[in-house]
Amino acid sequence: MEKLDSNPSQAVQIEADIFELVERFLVAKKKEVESLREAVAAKDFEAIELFAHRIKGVGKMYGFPIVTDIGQRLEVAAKEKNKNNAKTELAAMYLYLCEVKIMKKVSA
Amino acid sequence: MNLQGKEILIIDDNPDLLFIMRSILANTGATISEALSASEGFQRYQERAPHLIICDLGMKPHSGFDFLRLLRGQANKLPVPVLVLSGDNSKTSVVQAFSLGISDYLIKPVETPMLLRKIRKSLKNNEFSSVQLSPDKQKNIAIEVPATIVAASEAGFRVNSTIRIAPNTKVKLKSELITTLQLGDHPVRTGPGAALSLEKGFYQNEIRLVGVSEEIASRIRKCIRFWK
Repeated sequence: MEKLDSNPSQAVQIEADIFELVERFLVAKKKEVESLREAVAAKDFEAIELFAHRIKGVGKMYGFPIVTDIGQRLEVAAKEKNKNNAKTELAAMYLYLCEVKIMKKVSA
Repeated sequence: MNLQGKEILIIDDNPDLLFIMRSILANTGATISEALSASEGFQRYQERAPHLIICDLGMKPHSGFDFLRLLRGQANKLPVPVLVLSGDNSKTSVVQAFSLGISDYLIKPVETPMLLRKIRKSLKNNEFSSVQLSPDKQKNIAIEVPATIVAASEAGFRVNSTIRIAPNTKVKLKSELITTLQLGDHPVRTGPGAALSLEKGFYQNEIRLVGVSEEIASRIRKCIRFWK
């Protein structure tokens, strides 16, 4: 597995008005990644590519550039139908989503 | 950024993007409508007539390009500014989207400040859309302009105003004096001569009463006697 670009134990600061939305996003994406384990086993690369494409597009907007980066690599793996790489990147995504901590940004 | 009074339609098949966009734009005062497909987007466009559309390209079964072509129809430009927000960074797609008349092209993921800047720019460049009405669609309207009656006679009035009314034009006068004289519905027209140009952008227009009855003439004479 590729090393994560930043320490997930370090809290990501999120604007207060989107904090709850971001919390829900993390929970929902974790569930989606879990369900994609079967897709990897079944070599359903279309489902993996769709997930990767979407999460790549929004990760940064929710405050997680790492999610976008992993999503980008996952999309490539799915396009190339590379099961091992897809599995690796999905694991990286899962790990990050589980470990990342978020805190409300304190306005100046 | 204050986008009060602006309506923005966001078309994207990714619900996560719609959620975050709605949250980002919530503080701007803009009204947001959303669609999860190109066809739903076109329906929303027809229902809501938004000021700006933010549209994805990679949607199925109809792509963002299909939406842009449908929106453009036979016209030579899009009827509303469209900001493309897509993960597709290929030169071909960018060129094709601009050839269809989009205002700007943003590649996902986008930073919020950049997104807001582009939204503001697109709205600023297209602040008011206008269309030249064909003769069959042109409508008659009334324009109310403040004016001062400076002289009165049985034949009509001299009226000072900031507009110069063309000779022999039908006009309607509204004032307490006109009501007192019971001339509210009486037909009036400007005289045959050109309005007199006064100082500071004012004009004196001669307004003639059409077909003055003795009853009206007598009422006006009484007023004139009172004013004298």
